[in-house]
Amino acid sequence: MIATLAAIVDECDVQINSSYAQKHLQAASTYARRQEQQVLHEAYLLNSDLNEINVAPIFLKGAAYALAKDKNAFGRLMSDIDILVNKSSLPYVEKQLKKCGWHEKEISNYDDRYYRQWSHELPPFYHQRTGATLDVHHTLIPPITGKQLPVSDIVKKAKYADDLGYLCIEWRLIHCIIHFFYNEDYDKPFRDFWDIKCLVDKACKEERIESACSIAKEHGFKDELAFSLYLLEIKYNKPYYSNLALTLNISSWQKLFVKNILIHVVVLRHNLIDSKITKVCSFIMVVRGHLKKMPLKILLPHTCVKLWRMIVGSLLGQHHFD
Amino acid sequence: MNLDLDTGLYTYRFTRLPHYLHEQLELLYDKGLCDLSDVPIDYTVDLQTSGLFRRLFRPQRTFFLDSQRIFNPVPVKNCLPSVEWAMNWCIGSSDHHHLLIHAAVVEKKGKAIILPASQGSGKSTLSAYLGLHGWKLFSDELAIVDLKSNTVNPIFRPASLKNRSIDIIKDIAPQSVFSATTNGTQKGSVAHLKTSTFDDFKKLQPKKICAVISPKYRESVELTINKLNSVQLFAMLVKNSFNYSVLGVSGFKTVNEIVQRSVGFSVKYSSFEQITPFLDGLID
Repeated sequence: MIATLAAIVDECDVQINSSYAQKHLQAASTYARRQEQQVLHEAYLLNSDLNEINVAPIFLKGAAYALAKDKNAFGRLMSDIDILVNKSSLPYVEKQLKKCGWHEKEISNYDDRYYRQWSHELPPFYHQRTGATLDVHHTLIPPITGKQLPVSDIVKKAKYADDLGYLCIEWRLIHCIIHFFYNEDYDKPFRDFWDIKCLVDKACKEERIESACSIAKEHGFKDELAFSLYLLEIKYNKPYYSNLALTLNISSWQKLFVKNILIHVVVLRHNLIDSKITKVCSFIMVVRGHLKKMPLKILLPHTCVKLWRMIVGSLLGQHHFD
Repeated sequence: MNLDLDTGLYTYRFTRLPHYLHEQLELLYDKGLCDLSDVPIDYTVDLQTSGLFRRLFRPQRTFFLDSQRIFNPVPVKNCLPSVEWAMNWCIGSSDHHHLLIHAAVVEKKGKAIILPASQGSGKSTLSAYLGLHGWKLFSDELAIVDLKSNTVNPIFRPASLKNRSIDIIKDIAPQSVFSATTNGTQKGSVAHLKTSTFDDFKKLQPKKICAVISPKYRESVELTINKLNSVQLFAMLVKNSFNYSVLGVSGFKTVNEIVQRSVGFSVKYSSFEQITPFLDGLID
């Protein structure tokens, strides 16, 4: 988050007197600028490679924020590029990517089966020359959740910048919320929360927030959007939730969940500052994320495999399976 | 056990350091090891222990920087070289307000020479020798070039010697301060040589670069010196830079400035006596 902080400091014209702070902010900012250039360059190449087989990828997450020039894109570091394509085109996309220098990352057979059976994306790819990592999605949420999203409609509503497609603001926001609430780890919760805040602000400014609410209600993400807005209201003391309370009404119990659990999760994570309450609340959110993501009959065996790996890891070292 | 280290341009805190490393680091860094609790630390490296079983049987440490694992687990007895490599990793991965070149840097009479070279070229051995024979060793691994002044910075670090070079330097300067030799690392046997005290290091200042020399040690060869033209010199600096592509325009300008203001050579040599008069000639 140092580069994000640098972007905010720059935007707000904050005077920084500490040379220590200046050098780290400047270095992070330089790195983030270069990464944004690299991601956009990779996006052009990918688009061109997939256009050859008549597939127009829609960019998601960090690449989409950069294309849309969202405020959260400034200084945002990302570990991979995410694209959305129609499920029917997946075999052709996979073949074309391999032809263009992308290779599947080495993962265990168990993880490969997990991706292909239950996940909303293929196992990750990396590019042999540039080292970039790519996630190819065929929908925005694992089908194992039982939620079916209208991918064709999402693609139709996509926006374009220089022929590169990216999700419209409503779906960018909802995808971001899905990513946060259906998560399997909470290592970067504050980055995700900052994404949500910037996208909500943009949706409000462009008068698309009601439209985002309608989509969230229609596809079963009403509570998650309401939790996000209620949390923003508490944190920033602005009527994010109150303005939409009639549409997104949540119960007193749900408000207690936001005030007592969620609020302790959306903090910067680091060994030096992690509190016990953050760790406990993050664990609750991980359990919740798993329960939301998978039915019990799949979650239980999956948990057994992961538990076994954890036990072996604690005995033989956590990198035993690497 | 924790330990703070001041290397001049960068400060480090090592947490959960195996006890035996304290002695070794005190040997190499003397007053550089100090209490830095009142100042912000640039990099905090945590040497985490592995699983319960591995704490008892063939214990390992895994190096983390800001909760990110930077190296695969290392046997506890082999941690000293990894501590040094971790310090390099911290700089290479995050200091993007300097141009970083994989090179040794030596200085004499106010002029600096940078020695970029690939692994196994004898760069560290040569720079260690020079550091013991009238030159100041600014760094044996990283040329850290300021983007505004284009000067190269000294850092307080020992020279890293590998395999045969350990005995070569020990034979030349047996009275010098060496760390214990760590055998069986990914680079073979590694030992560190102290070339200055912290007090002497504090007197060093950033210096202009007068020459860029790519040295290559070969047994029984005549001294061969090839002058590089500006394109070759530019390409060599870019090839050996860690962050040229990250820095963009300022990286280009800095490399260009070095090319304009210095001379470049590739040199093959078979003994220190062959190459040192040539290097001395460059700063006279």
